[in-house]
Amino acid sequence: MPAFALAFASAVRVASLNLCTDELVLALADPGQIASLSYLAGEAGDSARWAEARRYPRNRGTLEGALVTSPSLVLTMGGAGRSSALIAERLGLKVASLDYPQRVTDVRAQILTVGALLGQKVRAQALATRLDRLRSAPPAPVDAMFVGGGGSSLSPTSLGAQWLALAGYRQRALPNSRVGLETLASAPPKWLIRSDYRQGEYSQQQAWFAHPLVRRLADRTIRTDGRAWTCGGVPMIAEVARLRKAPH
Amino acid sequence: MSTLLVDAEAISLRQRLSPTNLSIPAGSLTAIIGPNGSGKTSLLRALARIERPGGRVRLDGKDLDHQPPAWRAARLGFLPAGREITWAIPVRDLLALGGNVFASPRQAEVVEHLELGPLLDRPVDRLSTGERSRVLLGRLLLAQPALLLLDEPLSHLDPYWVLWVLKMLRETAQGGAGVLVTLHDLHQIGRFDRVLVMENGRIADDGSPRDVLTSPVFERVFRVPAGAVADLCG
Amino acid sequence: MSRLASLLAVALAGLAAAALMLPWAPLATLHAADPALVRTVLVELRLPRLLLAAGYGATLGISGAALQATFANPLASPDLTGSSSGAALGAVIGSYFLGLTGPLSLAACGAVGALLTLLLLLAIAGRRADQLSLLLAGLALSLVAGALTSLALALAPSPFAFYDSFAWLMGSLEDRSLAQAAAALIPAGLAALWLATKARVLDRLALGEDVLAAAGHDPGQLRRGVVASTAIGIGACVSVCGAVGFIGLVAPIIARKLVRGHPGQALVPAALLGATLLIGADLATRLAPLGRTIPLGVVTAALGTPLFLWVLLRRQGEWQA
Repeated sequence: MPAFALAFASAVRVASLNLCTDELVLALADPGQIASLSYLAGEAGDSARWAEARRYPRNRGTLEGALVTSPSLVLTMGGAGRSSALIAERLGLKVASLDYPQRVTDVRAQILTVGALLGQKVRAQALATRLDRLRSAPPAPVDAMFVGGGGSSLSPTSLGAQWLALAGYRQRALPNSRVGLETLASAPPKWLIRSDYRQGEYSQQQAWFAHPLVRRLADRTIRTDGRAWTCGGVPMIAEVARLRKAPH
Repeated sequence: MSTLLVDAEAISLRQRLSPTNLSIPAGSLTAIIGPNGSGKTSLLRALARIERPGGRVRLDGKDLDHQPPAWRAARLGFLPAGREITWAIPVRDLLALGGNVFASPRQAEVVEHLELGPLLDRPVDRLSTGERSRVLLGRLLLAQPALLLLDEPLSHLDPYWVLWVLKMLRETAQGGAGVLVTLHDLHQIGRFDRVLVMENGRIADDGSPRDVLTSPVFERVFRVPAGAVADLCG
Repeated sequence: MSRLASLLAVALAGLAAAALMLPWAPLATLHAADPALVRTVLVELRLPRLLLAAGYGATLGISGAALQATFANPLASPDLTGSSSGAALGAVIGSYFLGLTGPLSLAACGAVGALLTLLLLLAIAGRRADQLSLLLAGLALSLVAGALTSLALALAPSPFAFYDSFAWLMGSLEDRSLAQAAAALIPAGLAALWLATKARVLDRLALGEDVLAAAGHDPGQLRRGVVASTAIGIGACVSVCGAVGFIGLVAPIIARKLVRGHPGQALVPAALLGATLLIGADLATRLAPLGRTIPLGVVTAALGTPLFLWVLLRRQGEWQA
């Protein structure tokens, strides 16, 4: 099966069922190889490449939904379920289920894997090299906190924190990975990396940012495109490069 | 000659009481009788200015609608037919509601005669309907208003209390107040000075108990032979 | 009566001080590092929380007492008339869908939601409804409004909205600013003041609407005023803190026990009691073990349910249907 796919690279048509695999597909595949992407890829609030993604049919994250577009490869993350694998087998489809990456090296490996599946080894290698350059000489990290709505933050061992370290910021350990307003007032971080994910849409978590104790840290707040952090995948490469140029 | 206490002009209640004129002299004890739905309660409510009635009522020469609540509460006492009270207020406090004080001998008399003494510290929502009736009546009598409008005051009372209450109402009238009472049961009608017969929202007859009970109007309104209850007058 | 009021005020003051100072440890550490920061934390974080707990609790207490007096129903309350849930629905629609996120416009949305629900209640149950009908209709409205609020949050543009359900439906005082406290408590304070001036008339209402009307007051106008003030007060508070249950039901009941059953005299004590109860409940959520957040509504339910059941059992057999 894989040899067949390699030999006829351009014949591969991939349906991606998950935002995180959408990112990989959009980064690596030729337009003709994309059978369908998941719904969120086309949402401005969730994907930086949403305009591009809307050119392709969108699925709702289920195998059945993707079948309409006659893919030869189905890409998903976090498990497609046993029944999906059986259906796929009966229909002669390949299903590739990636695990959620825990480390930056996992992301690198996934780039190469998906590149191989799509017959785009060259492109995948170029992307991996860009990532390697980031990892080769990371700046000395300074104390920081990543903060999303409602004070949610990152665990220091998480993937997001690893990306943050590559950008030159060390995520502080926080109870429940949450920063409270009292901590912001009494022991503020040197830098507050604030995610702007869906900041235009009202929610109580967004309203948290309007609290005076958060606003008074405005001069040490660095904005980051929250959409890349959802998956912590390919878009983070560009975001980390951008953050490296921010004040430390 | 008794003075005119109340002068009611064209009082009405939508759909229940046609415009009616009524004069009530001071010191009178009047009964309002009539079949169900004839407008007994409506007449009383229109006099008390409940539910935006039409017309005008002058009490002691002053238009009731234009008087402040303090003046009206002191001059006019109203007893509703439903005696329900939701709250567990002690009887003692209820009697005082509206500013009554257990001061004058007359007031101590009222409490004694209605045997409210043992009830003073009980919450009013735990009383029987009869006891509650006595408490509410007692409250009105304590306030000594110029005009008493009582809707079925004798219902829910034992015969002992029926007689006592009538005696107290008579004394109140003799003291100069005007007392109007709706009656469902005609047994005590002889004790009243004046009887108003209601029919379909208007006063059909107005006179002494004997005159009213023997009139053909009575027969028409109540659908009983005129002489049948005449001996109630005593 | 004044002795009771001073006793309640002292209890309230003590509890308020505790709420401001606890947990003590972070403040102590902070003071050692930078005393000025202690003031910042106290003023910007703990003070709004305390003010909201006291103000919201007082509003719930006085509104519940006023509703109970007006409807001659010992169980009428912002929760059981649906006004709290209606306020939450109004605030949710206003902020998540209509973009009215400023504190005062949010308060207005809450007030509109509460008012519409109360008007609907009066329309359904009728002006002279018996106690049971009023409560059933109120309960139904409360449930419907709560369900619609959840639906609205699920359909809102922001995917985080759904996680806000807990805060809206069970109440939360966390991380509120002084500006938000002002937006809630200024309208609520005005409403409560108006209600307090009606205490004597509401006492007279104990004798029935007819006796009140004969004495020259307008029962219809009184009811409309109580409904409007309740809607404004509850609406403003719910728009900032979400719907907190039981306090508006239980505080007036206890207050009436303290003032010998007079519904009108119970208004101000109910406000003081409500403030005390909510400050206490909020303190309990903050001192919870495991560092988890327990929604405010859970604590008030834990406090209020036993009391509520006790009231129901005592009235068993005396129910007027």
